[in-house]
Amino acid sequence: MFKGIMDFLQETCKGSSDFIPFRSYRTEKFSYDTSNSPRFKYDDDTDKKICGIIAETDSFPSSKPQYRDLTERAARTQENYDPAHPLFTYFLDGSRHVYKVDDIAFNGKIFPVTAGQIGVGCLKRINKFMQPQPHLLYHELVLVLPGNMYSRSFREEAVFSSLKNKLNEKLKTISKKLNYFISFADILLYRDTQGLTPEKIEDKAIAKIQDRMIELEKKLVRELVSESRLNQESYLIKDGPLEYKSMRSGDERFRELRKIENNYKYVLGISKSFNPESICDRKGKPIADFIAKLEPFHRTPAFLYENEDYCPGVSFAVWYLRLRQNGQTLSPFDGIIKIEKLLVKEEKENKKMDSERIDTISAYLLNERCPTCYGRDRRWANHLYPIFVTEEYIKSRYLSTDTFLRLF
Amino acid sequence: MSTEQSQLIGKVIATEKAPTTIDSFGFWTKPDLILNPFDIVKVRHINGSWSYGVIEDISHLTDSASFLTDFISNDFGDLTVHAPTLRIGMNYVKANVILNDKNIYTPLCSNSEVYLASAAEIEKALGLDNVKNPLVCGYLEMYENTTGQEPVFLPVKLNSKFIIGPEGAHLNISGISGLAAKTSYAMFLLKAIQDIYNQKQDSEDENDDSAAFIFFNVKGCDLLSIDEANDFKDEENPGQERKKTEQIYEKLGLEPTPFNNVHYYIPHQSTHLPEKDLKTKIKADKAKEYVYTYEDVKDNLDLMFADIDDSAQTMDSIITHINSDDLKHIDNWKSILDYIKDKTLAGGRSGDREITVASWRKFYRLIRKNIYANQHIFKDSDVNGRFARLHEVLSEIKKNQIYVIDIAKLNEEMQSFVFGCAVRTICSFQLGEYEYDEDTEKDKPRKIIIFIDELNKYASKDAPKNSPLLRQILDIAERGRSLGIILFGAEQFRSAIHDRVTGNCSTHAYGRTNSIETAKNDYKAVPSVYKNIMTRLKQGEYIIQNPILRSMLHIKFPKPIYKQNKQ
Repeated sequence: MFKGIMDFLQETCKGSSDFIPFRSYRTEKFSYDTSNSPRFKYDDDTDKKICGIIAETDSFPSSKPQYRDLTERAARTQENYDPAHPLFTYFLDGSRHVYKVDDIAFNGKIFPVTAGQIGVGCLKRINKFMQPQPHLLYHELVLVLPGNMYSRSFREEAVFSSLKNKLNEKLKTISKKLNYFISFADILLYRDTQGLTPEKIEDKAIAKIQDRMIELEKKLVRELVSESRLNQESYLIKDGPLEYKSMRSGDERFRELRKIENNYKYVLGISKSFNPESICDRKGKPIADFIAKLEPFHRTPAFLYENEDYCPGVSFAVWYLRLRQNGQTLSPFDGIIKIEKLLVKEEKENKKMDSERIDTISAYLLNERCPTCYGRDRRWANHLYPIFVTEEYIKSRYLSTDTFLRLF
Repeated sequence: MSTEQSQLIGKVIATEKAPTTIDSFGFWTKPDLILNPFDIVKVRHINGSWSYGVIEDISHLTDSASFLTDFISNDFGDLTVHAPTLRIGMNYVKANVILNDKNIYTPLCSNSEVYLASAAEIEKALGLDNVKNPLVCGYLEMYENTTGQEPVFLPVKLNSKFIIGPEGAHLNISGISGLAAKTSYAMFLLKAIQDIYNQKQDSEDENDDSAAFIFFNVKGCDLLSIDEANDFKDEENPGQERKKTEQIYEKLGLEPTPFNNVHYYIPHQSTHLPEKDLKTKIKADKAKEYVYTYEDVKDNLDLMFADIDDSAQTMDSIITHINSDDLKHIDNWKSILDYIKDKTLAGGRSGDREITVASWRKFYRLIRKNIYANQHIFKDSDVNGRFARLHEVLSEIKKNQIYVIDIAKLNEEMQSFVFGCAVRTICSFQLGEYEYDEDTEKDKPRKIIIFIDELNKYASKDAPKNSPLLRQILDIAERGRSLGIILFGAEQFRSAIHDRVTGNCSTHAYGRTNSIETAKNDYKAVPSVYKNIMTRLKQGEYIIQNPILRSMLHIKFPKPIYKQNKQ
């Protein structure tokens, strides 16, 4: 009889020479999303700086970058808006729920066991209606274990794959009872925990789930591109930045952004919350108030962003756009979104994006300010409604925390 | 209809705050699916059974958290904003369970599939299949304007024994004058009833049912041409309208012909009917003028005082005195008026010490007023037999005959009087107080159906308790079913009618009314959504209630097939 995943792991690993036997402490299970755990504050929370190099074809006075007023352009765009050709057709969002399910001890140390649900999906907008794309929804359950519980140095992938299959076989009885198919997509491993505090080890485990989510996001974009769904009149808006860090594990095809940069020709990354300190002038001095003082319906120039350490070989055009009146929101940055576009082909060569294109994209984005999710999300002023709907759709596919934790 | 042919329209929702119950359930549909209250849906339930529900209410929900969300979503009140994305929205439909084909009434499960039903399924769900003694009461139309679904046209047939007895009897129709078409609906039903009895006419079965009809014309010449075909002259396209109406009658299994066997009784010189038309009818032996001699009326004098509050019963005493043997010799109006006048003189002999002169004066004043106001009708004699005497005419009514008694131009007291006398005669008739020879007995109708509009004048909640007319109507309402007297009453406001009258009606028809009326206690049992619908009903639409029906039905009926003489 299946007594839980931790029991299963303990039994299986005990009887196998592939694994170091461990002791499970049956510690309290919880969801990191509902407890006081470290969370990313900004969408783009990395040590990166955007320095004030203009990355668009129009020139701006170098000493004093000016804002561009798009009020009239937005009004014209709205007047001529054709719901059958909305420019932004696809909306992608990825999220993950991470849970602490146990602590195990071996070799005199304690290691956390985490698990997660990952949801990455895409909705299509057809004549103003948001429609799910069932084959473009990935919902995965993953388990994260310490890599050093494996006692050998070879066949690691095959062994953990086999362990996963055995686990899923056991879960079939649960699936029958719940009338819902439950299956773990993968067992991920975290490593290099030498000298780290327990909290840092936990962060490593969580990061694995995060990486998996990012990989799925990239995979979904590739899927859209392979089906020729994206073009200059049919963009994909991705919630959050496009600056994917180079990965050291996972699917080879998706580890380096530069290898798949062409997939992002018609993709925009929209960040609701961003680190205002990340933008600097040419001398490296943060100019947060430059963004805060943006007038409604104005945009900043597009700036060049490159970071060889973080995402080597790729360049981005980044600009900010204010969707709403300052007085209608709580903080000076509410109502401002950060837009990122990966520069590809000629854009990358010239390190510039066509200003006309930026203006067009910005004008369309201004018209996306309505409707809002006011009352449902405190980030309503920056949250584009189609992205909000995509988020809600993905969340609706998750197992409840109770149901998930009971598997363990 | 198999599931494959039925259109799947939504799924049942059961939440923590809004669970499904034995009686009701909710389901979601797409916002653009058109459904209407009273439409029937079917739901797949456990053990392979199907549950049927009637739609009570439809609401539209979105993910907007509050009114403010929508205001802000329009750029803080900018009317020119057009959002590129529509809010996620759905329609939430609330329905009441009316049937499960395997008698399983546990609540419907969440996510159960909801389908539109076929005509046969709708019939079954509403209890309209296998109706015994079918009587057409109208028709219903479902799924009008629902995309991908043929509208359903279904004749509504109820068991006549639950409308005109013996299982249930009496009909009450309510609705605002001019908007609810009460008379038209009553006449449609009566036409359907006459059709049934016309078919039975030649049957010699002893147990065979038979009926006669008495209509009171209270408005203009409304019912004074019911044996003539409607010319539809008020319609934009009369020919097309006639054809459409006849088609509906045929679909309902009714003859698209006006009433037959109709006789009109017109008060002498007190009618809205043009003289020329009256003469034509009289010549054709279809109409006769009626009058009242003293002999006809003396036993019914109390009906002249039906609206007078007579708590001390002084009027009653006087009438008793007049009907006593002492005054048997008085046989005309002049004599009785002189006699009463004599009693009013101060110092005059009262003839009865308990009746004061003041009472006699009051009595004289009232009776004189009635008689002088209607002097054309109150005759001292009818030597030539030119006029009809209603009590004679009514006591000789034969099966399948329709008598239309015109009272439209009479004053209110006289209307009550004529109605009261007629009803009294009919009661005596059904009680077998009149003797007949064998042949006449054979033609005697088993039932008499009386139709009267403005019932509130005769059976109002405010009528004096000792009103003889009210007592008569209460008697009919409570005992009429067994006597074979069926009352079809219509009024503007149902709340004005005495509770014992409406309470004894087996069938209720609610036409267009207003919200002040529906807010009254009389409508307590009606779901609030249906009450709101009542304020929007069109002419030709009614909501009916009958013991056979599992829920109230929204029905329609065709335009009158007989000629209406609207003023």
